[in-house]
Amino acid sequence: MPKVIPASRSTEQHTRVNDASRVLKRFYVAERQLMRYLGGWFIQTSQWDLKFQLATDQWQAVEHADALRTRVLELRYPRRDVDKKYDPDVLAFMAEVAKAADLREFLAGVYEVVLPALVDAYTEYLQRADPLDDAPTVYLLGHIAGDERRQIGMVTNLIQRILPDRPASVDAWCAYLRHYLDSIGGLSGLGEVSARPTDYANQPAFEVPRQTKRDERFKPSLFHLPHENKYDKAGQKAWKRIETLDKRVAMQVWSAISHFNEIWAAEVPIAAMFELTNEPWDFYLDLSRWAWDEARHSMMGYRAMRGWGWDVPALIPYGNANYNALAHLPPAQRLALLYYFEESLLRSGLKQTELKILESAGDDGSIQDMDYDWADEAIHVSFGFKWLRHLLGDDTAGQEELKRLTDEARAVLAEFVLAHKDDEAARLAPFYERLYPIVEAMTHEIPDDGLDVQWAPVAADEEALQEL
Amino acid sequence: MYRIRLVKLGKEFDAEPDEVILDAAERGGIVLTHSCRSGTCRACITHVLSGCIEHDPDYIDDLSIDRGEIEAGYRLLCSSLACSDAELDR
Repeated sequence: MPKVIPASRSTEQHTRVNDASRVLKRFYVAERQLMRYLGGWFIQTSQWDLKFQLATDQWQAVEHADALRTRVLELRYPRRDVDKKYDPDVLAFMAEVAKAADLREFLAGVYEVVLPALVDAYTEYLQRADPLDDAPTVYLLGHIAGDERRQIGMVTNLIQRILPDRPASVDAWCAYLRHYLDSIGGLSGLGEVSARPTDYANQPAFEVPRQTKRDERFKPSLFHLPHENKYDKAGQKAWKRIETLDKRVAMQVWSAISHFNEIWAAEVPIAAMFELTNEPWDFYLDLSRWAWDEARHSMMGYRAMRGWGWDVPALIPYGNANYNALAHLPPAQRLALLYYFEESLLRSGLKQTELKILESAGDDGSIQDMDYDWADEAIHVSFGFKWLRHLLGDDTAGQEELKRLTDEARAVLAEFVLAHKDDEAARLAPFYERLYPIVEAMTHEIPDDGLDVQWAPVAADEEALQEL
Repeated sequence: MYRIRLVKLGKEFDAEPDEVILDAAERGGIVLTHSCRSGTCRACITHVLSGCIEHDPDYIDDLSIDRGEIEAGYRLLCSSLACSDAELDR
């Protein structure tokens, strides 16, 4: 007869490696899809505070997904399977969440149903996991659950402040999603499976909008700075008055408004992620980060202007032309133009010039914002370089195609500007005429440091690009 | 020690054989356009007109530059070392 000594402890069957990796892969897929739909609704959303929060949370979701994906692969999971054979129940559930009829429903679905369900599923996993054998998972799930509890708290507060009304349809929508989640055995897949609800079966699938709207508190605007629209002579003249105050003042104002309007550069990578569904995992990891960085840059500008006490929605142009003009182009082409702008500006050395002027102004906040923006943009160029070669080919033909797509996209943008040059929303003069006296009243003298830097903001970008 | 000449700027500086060109320029009081200092952002990409400038072999696989660009004589100065006197299109 075989002999043994007693087991030192008992374990739950699902804590074995194969079962753990299967459950963790479901979590990975849920977080991955959460990133996708938070990103999609980020483009859909116009309200500024909520838009920024969605950009932040889509990036945190991709970080969570990446940590889970790495852990799945550590658990003897076939590399070729980790990004294939996604659980169809999880995919279907997350697609259902994105079908919300409006932002209020979407937020309720994510922050009242999905994220609490994920936190519960992680907590349940942690209660059963062996803290020694499965220590890496215990570490990461604890941190992810903490992030997601904070996300829920943040958005709950934002909703109470911004969207306090709660239509009955929101409760019905959440009840439906909870019922759907139950039907697939929860996000872990370990629960009882039940009949799938069909209450919203005819609701169309979510699609990323081709046209984006800006926050309704802002005055409609296609552009934000006069170098974007060469036909807007009145806008250039109004801006020039700010330049006459001092190039330091102009740089402070320019950088804040420019940063604030980088939101389109967040929308482009997310639209590319949404439309290109079969790329290597790192593509999504990088583009999600790119988008979040650009949203942070936008927040940098907003924070600076609020810090000056400005009523940002009343004073500042918040344009949407750069996204809307290109929205019909293929995602790689939109990405190519964004890459072109960022690479060209770094190569021109303009960031260094801008930073030098802000240092001369002694504006610590703007200096720091610009310095980190510059560092971020360097990362983005590496993303663009890597992924455009992946999409278009890492050879001469690929490079020629990149140039062709870039030139074509620039022409499309130029045609858009021409077609809309006389639109009321294309006129920047009213903005800068309102802003001028406010800026002028804020100016004060500082010792002359002999700043010797040439910077003509209206022409700067265009000239720098032509030199390359 | 190698002598590096910036043709457009009309300036020169010395570079040790194991010294990154961008750092050598800064040591010589010349700040060239750059950003990442790690060969990924392409801000410092420059055409080598003559002489020998090569990418640091320790990082060659991590650089954002095409084979075609390298063959055409372009280098990322933040990740390049001199192996002779050289002239740069700067």
